[in-house]
Amino acid sequence: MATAKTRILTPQEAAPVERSRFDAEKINRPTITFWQGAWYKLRKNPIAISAMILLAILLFFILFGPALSGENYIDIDAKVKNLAPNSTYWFGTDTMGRDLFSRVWIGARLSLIIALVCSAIQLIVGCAYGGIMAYSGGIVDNVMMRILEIVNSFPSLLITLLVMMVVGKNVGGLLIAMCITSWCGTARQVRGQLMQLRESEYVQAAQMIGASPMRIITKHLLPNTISILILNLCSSIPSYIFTEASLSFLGMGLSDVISLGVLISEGKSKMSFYPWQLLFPAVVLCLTVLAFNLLGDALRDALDPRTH
Amino acid sequence: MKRKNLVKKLGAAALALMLAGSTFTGAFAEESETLAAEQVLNLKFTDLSLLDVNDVRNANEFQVLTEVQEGLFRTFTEDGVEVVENAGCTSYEVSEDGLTYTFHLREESMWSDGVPVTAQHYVDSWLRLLNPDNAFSYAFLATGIEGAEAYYNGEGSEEDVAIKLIDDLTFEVTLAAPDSSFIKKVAMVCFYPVRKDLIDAAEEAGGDWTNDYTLHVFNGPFYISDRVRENSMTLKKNENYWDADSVILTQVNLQVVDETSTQAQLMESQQLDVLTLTDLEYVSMWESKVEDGTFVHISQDEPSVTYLVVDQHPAGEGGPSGLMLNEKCRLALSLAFDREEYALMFEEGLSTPAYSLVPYSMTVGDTEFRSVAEEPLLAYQEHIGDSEYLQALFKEGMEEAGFEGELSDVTLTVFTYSPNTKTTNILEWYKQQVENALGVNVNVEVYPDVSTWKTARDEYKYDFYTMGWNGDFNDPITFMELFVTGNGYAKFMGGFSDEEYDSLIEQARSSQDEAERLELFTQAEQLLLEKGGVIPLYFPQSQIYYQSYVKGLSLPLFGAEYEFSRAYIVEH
Amino acid sequence: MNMLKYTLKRLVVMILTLFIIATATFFLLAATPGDALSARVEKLPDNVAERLYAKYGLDKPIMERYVVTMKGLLKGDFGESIIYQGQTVQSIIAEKGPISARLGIQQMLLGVTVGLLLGILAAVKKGTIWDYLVVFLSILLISVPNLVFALLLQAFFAGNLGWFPVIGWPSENIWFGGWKYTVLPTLAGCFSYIASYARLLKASMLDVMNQDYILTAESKGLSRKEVVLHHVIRNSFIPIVTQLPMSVAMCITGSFFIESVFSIPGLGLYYVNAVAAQDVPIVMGETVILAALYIIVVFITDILYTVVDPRIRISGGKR
Repeated sequence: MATAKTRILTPQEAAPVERSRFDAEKINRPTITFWQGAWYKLRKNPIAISAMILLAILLFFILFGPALSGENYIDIDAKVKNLAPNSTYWFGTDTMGRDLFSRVWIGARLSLIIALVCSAIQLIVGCAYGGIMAYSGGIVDNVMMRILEIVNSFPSLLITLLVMMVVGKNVGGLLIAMCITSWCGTARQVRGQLMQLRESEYVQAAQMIGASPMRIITKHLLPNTISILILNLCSSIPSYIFTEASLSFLGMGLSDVISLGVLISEGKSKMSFYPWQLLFPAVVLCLTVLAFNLLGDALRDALDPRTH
Repeated sequence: MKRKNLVKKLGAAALALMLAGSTFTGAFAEESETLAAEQVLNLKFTDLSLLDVNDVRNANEFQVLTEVQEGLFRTFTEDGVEVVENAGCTSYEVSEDGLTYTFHLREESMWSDGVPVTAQHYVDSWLRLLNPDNAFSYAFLATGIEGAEAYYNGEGSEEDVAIKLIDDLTFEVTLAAPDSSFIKKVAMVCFYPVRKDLIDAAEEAGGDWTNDYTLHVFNGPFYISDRVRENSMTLKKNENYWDADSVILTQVNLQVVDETSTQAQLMESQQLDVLTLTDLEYVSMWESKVEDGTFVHISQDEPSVTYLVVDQHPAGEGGPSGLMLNEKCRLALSLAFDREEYALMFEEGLSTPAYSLVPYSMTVGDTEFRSVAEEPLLAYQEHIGDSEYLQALFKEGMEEAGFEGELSDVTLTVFTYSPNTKTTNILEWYKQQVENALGVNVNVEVYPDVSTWKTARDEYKYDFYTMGWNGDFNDPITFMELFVTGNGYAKFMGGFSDEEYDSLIEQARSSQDEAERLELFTQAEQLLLEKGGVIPLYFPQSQIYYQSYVKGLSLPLFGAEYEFSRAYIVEH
Repeated sequence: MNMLKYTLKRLVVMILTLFIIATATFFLLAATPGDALSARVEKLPDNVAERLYAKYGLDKPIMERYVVTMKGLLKGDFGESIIYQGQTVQSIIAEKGPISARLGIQQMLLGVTVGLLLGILAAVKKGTIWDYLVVFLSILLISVPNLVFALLLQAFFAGNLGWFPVIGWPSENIWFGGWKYTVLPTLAGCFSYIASYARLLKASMLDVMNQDYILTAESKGLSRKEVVLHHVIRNSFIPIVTQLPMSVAMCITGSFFIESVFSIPGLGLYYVNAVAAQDVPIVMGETVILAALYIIVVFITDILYTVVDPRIRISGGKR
């Protein structure tokens, strides 16, 4: 008889695997938080990567550009005016014989600082206003909403120009003028988001199982609002840079400082003769705006919870 | 040091050119000209704020209104020399005391609706100009007429103004005091005749006569046939014009073009026929086009001067430094500025450095004033920028003024409002110049807007600031009278006050003898500048280009920038 | 009935809003140093200057001027411009509005069409090189200022190639004449529409594609083309339809930069110049009219939501 080679299981092997009843729920893959997911998505997006590299390069020059060239960019010097780009003056010189390379980065620095400060004001005011509306609800919310709608109905260019004229054509005036209506959008979004979250099932569930308000704010409300704020930041920075430049074009912006807008409107008047005086500041402005816009677009995808 | 010499040389060469008056380059008219089939001229312009001749304000209004309306005279230029021709009048007489002017009008002069131009139209216009309720800005030109000043100031009545209608074609004007430049004044647009019947009719109908061209009639070589506000205007030949035979152009297109690069593009593609450059860089770019005869280039002295005003108001106590009431300090300040470098730096070397107040090409009678009167500050040219000499001079002044301390203790204040990049750079240059030459400190004050600046000015919070003046008519007095004690503009002009100067100008105003006036102006200007009453910097020049197929274009100094009523286009 | 009540309520809120905006604009203008006449009176004797102020009523105390201005506003009379002699806001808008509107509408039609096509392309080909290309291109286009585009287009297509006129605008047959004049200005101003509509449609389509009913459609064997054409595109147009009124409202105000580069006699110039010159009647008129336009558009948008998306119902003005 052909003996079938039957392997007999040892008792140990035959015994049921011991497992806790909770192990079925155990997640073996490491948990990926929302932010890790977003970062992962961002890294996989070639546009986002190029935007970040571009931003890093721009930032490097904005910080160290003037020091790198080391040429004079303040004093008037008739000997070297309107020079084409060369080995000493990498971007050439302007009509007053000042190093354009340094001026472009100094200008970009101011434009970026203005954009950042404005964005910060917009976010802080917007969050505070939106937060109070969402938190208070009822009559307070209603009244604050009406005020917001009124402010929002002002034609924005008109009000910017007017405020600029009242407070003066300086950096402070520009900040106030550009921020005066811009916070409305943020406030509205923050309020909407908070209201929606407050009523969402998982926050209610968290409340029910006794999570402290602090935990709800830090674990649920904040992360979900922050993505809105980040997107807000990425779209508001380029728009502030643009607005500053347009105001300078109109002759209603800054005048006695170096900003990209000032440099571009100076360069534009000499466009036919010394095209680089327009080209370099315009290209730096476009690249900065482009980098923020691209990053913002990529972030929008990355931070969208529906695509996780 | 080397640089400075070079600058000086260049400046001197430029100066030599300017001294020759207007310099012509490019092709001149050929003998055998054939008229082009299409007689259309294309110009760039700025739209008019209004079409009211009495309320004329800016260069653009002078330009268009001169061509569509006509006053007593019309100015042409021949080879750069001005020729004033009788237009609305055929002749005029001046009484022996120089007080009464009688104008005889041209009989065939006619409005575009067929109504003849009469003396009544002139009388209506001049009284309307002076009417205090209208507050017209050029009314001051007529206040020399007897009774006019009081009427304009709201103290007298219209009946007392000595403008008298004699008959349909004659009217008479009596002045309060002789004024040798009265004829030059009344040639201006604000003295052109008006049709009161139409103004009243428009007002009754609720129409806007001041700015609606369809409500106007025209007595000039052209009439307005179409207008798109703030954009374009079309002029067509006025067949009712008394001298229509001399008008060859059939149409003139005026177009607003904002960007200088676009203007240049249009010029290069022959879509614009005449252009006065605002961007001086094109001068070198277009050199080849002038050489090959495509463009004609004319650089012309403008009747204008840019200078620094020095705070000499007694109430200002010599400005923040306390020194500006002193002649020596002012003169030292005046000599601190290297005008050649200024012209090179900020005007591309295309303006004339100024060592005097009265610009080139201003005439007294038939004599060009500057060709006879040497620029007073040229005598000091060796001292300009010479810090040793200037510091000594300034120190002397400080001692006279009772100022205790060193040069480095002095701070001069210069101020401005809402500056652009260029003015900021210019202020920076002033600071460098004065600090280097005089060894004093310069404080640059920037006011955010014109009203806070005005307040500061009226409180004398400055030592000096930039100002300029465009002459109103072709006589040195249009510049010189600004510095007479109590002049209406003294508030803006530093308030120079000197008895001798006042009496020299007063004599020149009433004198009928041109040689004497010339001498009086020369003395007065010398006195003004040597006392540092004002610090001239440069005389602006205009760079005018036109296509070489445009002929017969006149470029008068006053009124219209281009007088094109006798221009024509040749085959090209 | 509910609808009527809702409309009435919105109307009251609108009038109140306009009143507050007009008041704020008036006092902002009053707070601005200088006034519309300061440049003109600079060289006039004091007594003449006073008469000029009296002529425009600018000599009266501020509260009196405020009352006069507000009374005029009630009657739709904003007053006569101080710098543009003999013109009112209404006459300026009547004359220049159509020109700016034609330019704006052409820019919008071109921009929205191209934007939507690109949006569909990006959504359908999501994650491919096409998607990235569309995203990159549309963002690149909005990262270059209008003015720079306008100058470049003008220098190249009109200057070098001579295909189009350098400047100008049709003066006859203002709505349909002189197309060659309008090509470059239209191109120069359409990019912001392309970018925003491409992005909007892409996001909306991706949203729809994630919906269950699309999965159902796909699983019942419809081809991808059919799914996209019949289900996705139709349903993703809701945000587009609600965005359009705002674009229309914005496009008729005119663009200062493009109008100034191409010498187009539109509204943009007035808009900026009047503020700079502190021409109170014009600025007040502009502000109120633009704000009213904005509020009406917001209202229309709200109504449109309920029309195109049956899930949304009007409930006392809250969204």
